[in-house]
Amino acid sequence: MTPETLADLRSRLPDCELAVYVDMRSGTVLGADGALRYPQEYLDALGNAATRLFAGGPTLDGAEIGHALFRGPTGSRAFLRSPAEAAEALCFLCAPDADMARLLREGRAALGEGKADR
Amino acid sequence: MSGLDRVRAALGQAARDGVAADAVRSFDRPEAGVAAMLATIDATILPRQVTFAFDTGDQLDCVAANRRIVRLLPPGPQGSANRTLFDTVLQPEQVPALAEMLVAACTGSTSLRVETRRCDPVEGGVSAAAVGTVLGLRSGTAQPDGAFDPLDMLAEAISPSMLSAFRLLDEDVEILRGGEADVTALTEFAGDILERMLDPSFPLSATFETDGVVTFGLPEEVGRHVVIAGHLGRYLVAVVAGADPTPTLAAWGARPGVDGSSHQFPSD
Repeated sequence: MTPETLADLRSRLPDCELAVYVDMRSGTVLGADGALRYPQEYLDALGNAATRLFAGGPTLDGAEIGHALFRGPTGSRAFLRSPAEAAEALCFLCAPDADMARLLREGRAALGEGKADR
Repeated sequence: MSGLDRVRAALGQAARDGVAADAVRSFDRPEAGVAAMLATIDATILPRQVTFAFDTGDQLDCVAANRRIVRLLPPGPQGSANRTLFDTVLQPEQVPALAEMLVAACTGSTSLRVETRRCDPVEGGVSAAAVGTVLGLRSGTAQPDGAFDPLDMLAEAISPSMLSAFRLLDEDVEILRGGEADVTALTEFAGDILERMLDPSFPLSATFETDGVVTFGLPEEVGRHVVIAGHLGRYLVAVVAGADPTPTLAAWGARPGVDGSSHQFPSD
């Protein structure tokens, strides 16, 4: 997913501060777009969180998790695994009260419309 | 959210992930001072060295983790009679003596300043609740009148859709709903996830452990999602009907004090 695609996606999510596309297998950030110029450590931290959550399972009754949404007092994060490439994930850093339903909808659309080309 | 608000949020997150800000607590009697100290300990999950600096000039340093006082660091307040409490992992039989020492430390003082910084992992110690019990103080897990337990609030909000659920506090598990098979499956899932998320290397471990919620989406055809909410070292784990987890997230966000309002250890 290119930085331009991420920028276009983030433009539709007003509460999104940072969008990152990662290869969890290699731990590589493949693309990023943010409201601020985030240092690489921030991008890597978001990718590492996705890797920790998705890599190697876990499953519930044999079903693998497809996304994880995290909310804390000072921010929200979303991690969406690519349906086309399970080792890749789209990650977001958002405001605490971000519209997660909209984020899920837009993120899934971006992943499902073949926009995951590099 | 404006650009300035985003910067504020980023700074707030950095502050929460780093060293806690200093805080000054005033009190009008020694037991209230001890209550303030225990409130700090009760809110300490990840290992920290905590300094209580009294307005008398005295100071007490300790290591705390998992809501427990693990070790008192010498030299301690002047006149501390029981030196056996210092520089050793505290044991349950030392709780009465520790409570007496804390009261003595607060005697003659009207305020204390709290400073904390991260330290290496530690184990053991005695809980803030145990010390509070000796002094007749209510546990930090019992909220003041009119307050709320966010895990209880979430459980109640999602109850109509809850398929299986349990609450986890240290090693105690309270099953809220579901048969043995469902709870077993959920326990295995949660065990795997908590091991990942509570590892200090996980970027969100501190927030999740003190005040955070995560939902896990399963394939649409499964028609369920999982929620794990954490608050001061306690967790609610549930499988909820419906593939869309956003109403569950909204239920967590709807509680009062969601901005992280202070945790009180009542002194009466």
